[in-house]
Amino acid sequence: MSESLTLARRLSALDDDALCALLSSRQVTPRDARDFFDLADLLLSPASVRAALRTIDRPTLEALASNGSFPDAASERMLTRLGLLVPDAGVPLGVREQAADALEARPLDDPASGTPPIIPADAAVAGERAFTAVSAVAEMGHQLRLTPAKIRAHGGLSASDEKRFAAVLGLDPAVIQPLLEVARAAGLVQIDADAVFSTTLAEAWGELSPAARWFAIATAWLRSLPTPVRRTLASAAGNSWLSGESLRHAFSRLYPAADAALLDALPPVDAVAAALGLTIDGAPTVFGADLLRASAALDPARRPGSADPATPSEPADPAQPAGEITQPDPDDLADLSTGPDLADESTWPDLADDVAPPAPADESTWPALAGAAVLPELAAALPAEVDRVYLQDDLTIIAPGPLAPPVDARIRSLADLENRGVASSYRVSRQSVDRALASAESEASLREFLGGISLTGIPQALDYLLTEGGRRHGLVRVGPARVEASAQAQESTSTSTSTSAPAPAPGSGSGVGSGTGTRIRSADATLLAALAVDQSLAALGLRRDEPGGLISRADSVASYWLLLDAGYPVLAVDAAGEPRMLRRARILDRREAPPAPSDDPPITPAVVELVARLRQVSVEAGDDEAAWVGRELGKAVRARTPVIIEVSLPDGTATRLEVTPLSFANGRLRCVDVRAGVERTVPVANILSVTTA
Amino acid sequence: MPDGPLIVQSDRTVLLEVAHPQAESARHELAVFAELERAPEHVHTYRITRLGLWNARAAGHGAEEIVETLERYSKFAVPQSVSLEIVETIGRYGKLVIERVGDGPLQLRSTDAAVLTEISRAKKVAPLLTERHEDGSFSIEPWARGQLKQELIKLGWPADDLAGFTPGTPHAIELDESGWQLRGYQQQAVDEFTSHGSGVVVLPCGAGKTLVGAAAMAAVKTNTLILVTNTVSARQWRSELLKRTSLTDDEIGEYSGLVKEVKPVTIATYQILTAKRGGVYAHLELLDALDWGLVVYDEVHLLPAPVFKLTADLQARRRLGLTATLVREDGRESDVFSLIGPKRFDAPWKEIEAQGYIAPANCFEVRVDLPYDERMTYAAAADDERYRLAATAPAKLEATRRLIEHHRGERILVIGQYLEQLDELSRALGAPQVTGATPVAERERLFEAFRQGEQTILVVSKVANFSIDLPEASVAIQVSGSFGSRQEEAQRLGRLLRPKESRLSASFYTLVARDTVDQDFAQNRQRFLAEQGYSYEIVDAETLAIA
Repeated sequence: MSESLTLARRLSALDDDALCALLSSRQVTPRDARDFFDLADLLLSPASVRAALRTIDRPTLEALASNGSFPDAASERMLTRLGLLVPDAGVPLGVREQAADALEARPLDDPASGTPPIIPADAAVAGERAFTAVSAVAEMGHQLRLTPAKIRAHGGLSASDEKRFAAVLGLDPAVIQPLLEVARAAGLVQIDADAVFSTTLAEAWGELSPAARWFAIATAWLRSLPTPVRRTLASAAGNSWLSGESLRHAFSRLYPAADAALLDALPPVDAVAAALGLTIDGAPTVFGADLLRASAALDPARRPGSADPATPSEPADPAQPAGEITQPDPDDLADLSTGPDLADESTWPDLADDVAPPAPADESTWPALAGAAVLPELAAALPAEVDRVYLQDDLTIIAPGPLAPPVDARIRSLADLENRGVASSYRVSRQSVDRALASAESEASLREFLGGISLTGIPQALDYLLTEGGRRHGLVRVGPARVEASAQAQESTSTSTSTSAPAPAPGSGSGVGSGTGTRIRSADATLLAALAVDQSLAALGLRRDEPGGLISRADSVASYWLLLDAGYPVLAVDAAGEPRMLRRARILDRREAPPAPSDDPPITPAVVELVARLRQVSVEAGDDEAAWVGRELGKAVRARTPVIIEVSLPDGTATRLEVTPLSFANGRLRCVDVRAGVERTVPVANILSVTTA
Repeated sequence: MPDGPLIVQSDRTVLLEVAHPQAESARHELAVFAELERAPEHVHTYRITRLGLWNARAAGHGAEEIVETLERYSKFAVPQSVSLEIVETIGRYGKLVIERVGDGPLQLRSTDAAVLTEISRAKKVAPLLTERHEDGSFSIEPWARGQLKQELIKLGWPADDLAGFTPGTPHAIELDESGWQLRGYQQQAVDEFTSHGSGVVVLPCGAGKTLVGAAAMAAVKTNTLILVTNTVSARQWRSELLKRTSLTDDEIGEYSGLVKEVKPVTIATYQILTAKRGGVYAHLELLDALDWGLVVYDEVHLLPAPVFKLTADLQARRRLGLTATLVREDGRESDVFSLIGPKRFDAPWKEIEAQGYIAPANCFEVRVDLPYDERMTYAAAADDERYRLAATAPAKLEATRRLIEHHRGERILVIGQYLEQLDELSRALGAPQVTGATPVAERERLFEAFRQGEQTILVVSKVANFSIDLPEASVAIQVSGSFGSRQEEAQRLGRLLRPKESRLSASFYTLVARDTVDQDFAQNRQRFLAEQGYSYEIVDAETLAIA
């Protein structure tokens, strides 16, 4: 029986889920197959087989080539799922040939041949790099809380945001994308639509020790790598992290059928490894070894020599290397809570207290941390954290070492980061104090906090700033107001020269609209009068409302940010006059790191549709063997190529004829018998099989 | 890893924790190769720059020594990138040497043929080289010694200039140390300079840079050209030289807009040297008027760009630069390095203050409330009008009065930016004013009256910013300034840093209109002054009477 027919039968016997999974894994598109015979032909075509073999490891390839025994039952299941092995029929010839070709092209060589000797990098330098990675990922989170970053249509951070991060972090722009990929894998940042946001998980991550922070992001990233890459890394002797030519060589050795697209996905892995301190100038570090050791302990199934439990089919799209952020699948975002509808101002979408509190930092959030024996070793290689700072007359806050993240986060609420490194410096200003007071701090709480963390007390100038901030805080109260249509029309009474409203602040949602506006109140009549004539607020189109108040057509979120940026002591209030806190950018709710991506590509609606179509055609065709014969004869007529047909004779015997088909109609085949040189007409019902001559 | 006082950052800044027991020794060793950027009370910031490293190399310090210093005092591991950069940068200095072989032309040599090949192909260097010799060295155009050094430093290959100096016409100059003595650090600065023959001495305002210049002249004993910022400064130099050296009136000439004298010691202003007539420099002949053996550049950080160009032709003369800071607002520090010379001496002002040679200073920001009308005028004003309105707020007058009352008996400078405001203050306070319009003779008379205590209050504009010695001024009240320029702050405070016979500490007040852009600029001032290590307090104007 034809292998195609055998496979077609096998495919048609699969249930819909299994068939969808197979079609997705083998990257079959709807236009590729009209029926199961087409599909079987396609799956047995050399190109399709080669693509399927790319991520099959050497022992399994050897078994395929020899149609021999497979390394384990899991491998057999995996090959069957992929349609490379047909139960009871073995490995199709085409698959065997392609597997043999791949093995012949890359024969097994000495593991060390062609790769430079591995010399571990200096531990102190690795520690420096690992520390830089952790602090850079943290800083990215902070920056995203101020302004989200744009994602390009085809994936990757926008050039302007990459530059922005590079400048703030003091790093080479080339390092930004790898670090962002790490942060995304760990769930510290999240893509929503075409932008990247920080998540609540970043806060919980910040509560971990420095070593645990590094370990959490490194394990999350490692887990996110395609299975073949992970297995290759885990295959290195002595847990020495492979990179560059060593990684490429080991990968090719373990996956001989890997094509250029797969190999091209390795350099981005190298880039992230270097950024995390797993390698320094290509040399492996103690951090890399620790990570691999800990990962092997966590996941025995991934150890070298273990069967690959998953279908190694990634990366499905060579154009999306591992180090590049891509648009998420909409389903991936289904669990995200992005807060209330931004357009509905009455719900105050940007309120911090509307955002879920961060998940507690424990081992349930990062299972990899549970019993991670490497943490003490990592901790020794990283600079120790400090929780006390210097407050100086020039209004700087100097942390003489890596600052404990909770302290860092609170300092950032009242000061602006100026310089980041092992030590960090922040600067307090009137604006930054106003910002802190507007975000649930009070003069007393700030004073208590600063007094508690200062190594040298609070300088007079800073104390004055706090007093001044406390005195001014809340003098201008900004809240939503419903503007009557008639009031909106009273442009002539406007105290401002401009009627154009400002654009809403980033992440603030609505601008002017739907009859909402802003009500501004102050107990300081002079301040209110100054507001009313302030040229820099012209965009708000302020008008006197009632004694002690002004009104603007702009929405209250936009008004709030404009007033704050203009240096006014502004406090946001809700419709009931209760103080509320606004944020510049959204923070997405995430309680744990995202699961490791499945090796099975997602099943698209198109694949589901294809399966339904195949089923329909199958029903219409009826008997599959007769249909198969008819299909093969039709192909031969069109190609005018000789075929061998097996014909049943009336006496119950069968004979084989080599014929060149001429036409095929009304249940009869008209053909030329090649040996006899005569034309014959054969009833199709009598043709048992058709094979290539 | 020792728990030292230094934190070395990968951006090449180095933080020094002042309270650490090893801070003093670390500071001494660090100052050799890093520039002090900020010195607030607890953590000082230094920066490791190429020029700083080359300065250190020029003074005989090697890369290993520098890296070892960082590692010895560092609290955390020194970033690998910093160590590598130090080794690489230091290795560049001295690879190229300018020297004179016998009486022949200047030659550019190198032990590294690749470097010579690289630089000789550079577009701006090639025309300055004439002939390539068998040993790989190049002859240099006779006029190109300075220009070549400028171009080489731009390429990152600073040349070590060993071509020597012309002796100049000898002239007997002795220090007259009757009643005073050169201080230790001044002598050290002079020794460092004379052993090299060219370079820059960095000393804070009031630390006696003029005396270092005089002592250098006495050491070299040759015809000397002194270049200064303005005529008043020129006359102060003259007065000091007459007082502190054996030089007489007949031996010192002034070459300025007012007088054109050329004598064995001639003091000229930058302005006259760069004055053009018909598109050409009209007073260039001064540079060749005598066979100068030494050229002194006062306030090197203010050296105008054309003077650099002229200095490029003076590379055969000994050159001494004097300044309080190597930081230039125009970023031309490398020109100072290549044309005047590397830093030869630098003394942190805190050390000099600790020795009692300069007065301590306290800085105060006084917040003045604007009355209703002024506030409304300010709020309704356009952005470009706001600073002027805030800076010249009439409400500042009353605060000024209170401060003067508080410091009655002391010598007080009231400093402002706007002439109308200064007029008003002068009238209201009954104090004379010195502005750009005040004739030089009148300025000198008023300054002298101030020094003698006959006049205790002066209202001054920015003409008093530079190089005017008013040693007994102990209070400055700044009512307005030019947008928080760092240089301006340093100069103004420098007026108050002279040692006081009265031993009073200096007070520097800045009046600021509350809740205005004036307050924002004051933040810059506060930052700069506190970064220099001065104490800084903010007070409300209404509390001044109580204070």
